[in-house]
Amino acid sequence: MNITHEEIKKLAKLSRLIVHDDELDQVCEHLTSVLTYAARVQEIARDIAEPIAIFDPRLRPDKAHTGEGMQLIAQKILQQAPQQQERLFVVPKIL
Amino acid sequence: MNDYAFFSISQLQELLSQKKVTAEELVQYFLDRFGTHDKKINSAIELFDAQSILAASPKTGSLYGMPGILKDNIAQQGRPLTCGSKILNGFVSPYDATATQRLKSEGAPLIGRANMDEFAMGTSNEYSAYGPCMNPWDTTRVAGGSSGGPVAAVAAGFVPWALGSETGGSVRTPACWCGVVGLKPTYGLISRYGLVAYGSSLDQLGIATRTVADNARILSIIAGHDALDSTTIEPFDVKTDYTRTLDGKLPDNFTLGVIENMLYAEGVDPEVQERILAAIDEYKKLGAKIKLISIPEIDYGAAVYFIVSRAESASNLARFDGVRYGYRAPSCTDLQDMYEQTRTQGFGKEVRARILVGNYVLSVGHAAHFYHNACKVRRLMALAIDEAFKGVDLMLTPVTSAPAFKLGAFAQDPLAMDLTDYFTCFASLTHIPALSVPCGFVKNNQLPTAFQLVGPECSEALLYKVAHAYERVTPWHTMYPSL
Repeated sequence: MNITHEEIKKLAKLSRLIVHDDELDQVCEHLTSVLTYAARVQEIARDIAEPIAIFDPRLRPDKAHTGEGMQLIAQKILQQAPQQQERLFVVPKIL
Repeated sequence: MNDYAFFSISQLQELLSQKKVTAEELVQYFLDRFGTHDKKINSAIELFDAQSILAASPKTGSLYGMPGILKDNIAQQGRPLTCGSKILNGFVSPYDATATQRLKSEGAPLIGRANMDEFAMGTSNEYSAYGPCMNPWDTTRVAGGSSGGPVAAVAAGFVPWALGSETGGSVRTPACWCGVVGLKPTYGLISRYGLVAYGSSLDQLGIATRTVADNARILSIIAGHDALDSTTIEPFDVKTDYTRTLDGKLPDNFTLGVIENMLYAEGVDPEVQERILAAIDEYKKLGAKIKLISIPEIDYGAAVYFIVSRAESASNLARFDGVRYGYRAPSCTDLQDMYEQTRTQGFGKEVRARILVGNYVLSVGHAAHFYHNACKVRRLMALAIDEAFKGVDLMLTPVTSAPAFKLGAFAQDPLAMDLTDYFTCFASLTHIPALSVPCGFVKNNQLPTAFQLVGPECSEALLYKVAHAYERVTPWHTMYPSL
């Protein structure tokens, strides 16, 4: 298996990462070696009667937590924002 | 002051109860040990001041006066939390992890934040943004990872206990290479609330100590159901004392399965093999029945682990985007640019590579071949292991194929480095507990090695009992590096 430069660039976009042109060869080589090894799962993968995973959702009531304690936590979190205004996180323009 | 560096938790408790030393003196003693020796090991990212350490926990409890250190992906309220990464520069945890709370409620002084591979991705602790963590037995070699910092701190006598995290071997591998006891518990035994996620179906907190009894003591405090983590095991809401079975004897009619396709796998160092065979002989002398077994499915464990862990981490690390906390790249043109610049500048090379692999195995056209097949093989492995446990009580394997390597040895061969997880990842994938137990030294008696005991889900008490029986007849837990 051989990962192409074009595939790496597309993956990088999906991952919200930048792979610079001078890194492409090295990244291709790394990914190719790991994925070639990982592909061996196909040697024994087969469907079985038993479910692959047990789905056991344990849900709590959908109840909002309010009060002074929660406001303090919210304040601590907002204070850590790189940029914030009132109770909003400020980011560069989207469009 | 006397030399308490390598005292066990119960020895330190005795000193405190006899008033030969105070909690304040002990905390300062261990802080001073870090100060004197940690420059060449780099096990701690930050050490807290004595006053705030003691103020953070009550002056009572079974761990009062006995400091430990937490890997820096475990939340401690009011302390920075970096996960060994630049991308969390400036982030201060607004809350304690559940495990942190439980330790504090037993009076544990939490002495600092331990070094780690960035976001727990690595097997050598070379990928930390805060520099590599070195092995106390040979400071030209790696401690192992990703929990190199907490484990090396225990091995070096900087603390009597530490918490790391496990996703595919990240406590057991450094424990093997640093000559200490390392536990990966049953998935769901310890709450993950407050542990920064790497692979959510794999992650567990792990415990590093110099003796089996100390390890059991810490597990007794932090294990148990947590309403804040719905993956914790529900019947475990009653306190379990994991030290109660430690009488130095094996259970009656105990059968130990040796997984021969692991012990005799290609590439296992003959000296490591010899030490493990010697350990098996000790178990025979203790009365164990030894059964050679073969589980071919677990040979695919590393391949499954590469796919599942990277897929889950690509998803879990999507939250680090510069919007709400941590590092944000300056001078970005728009939001998309901000995401890309922040993540490229904030994450190290290994983390970026794993995110790319993770998104590849989940993407259209590849998910069926990689991710879905990996999930099927994961289930096949679990079924094969369940079947094996019908004939044996516990199983034994190597932890790693060789002892700790020199810094930079695998810089040009990341796949070979990743394959360090070969012997450890199957337990993580199948949710069973595993314990790394020191079994001697190799390479002219210079470097520690270990064997791994694995058991069925929730068999930690048995693992400890069997490991303790071996520890009682061997000297390894009394041997310490000279720094």
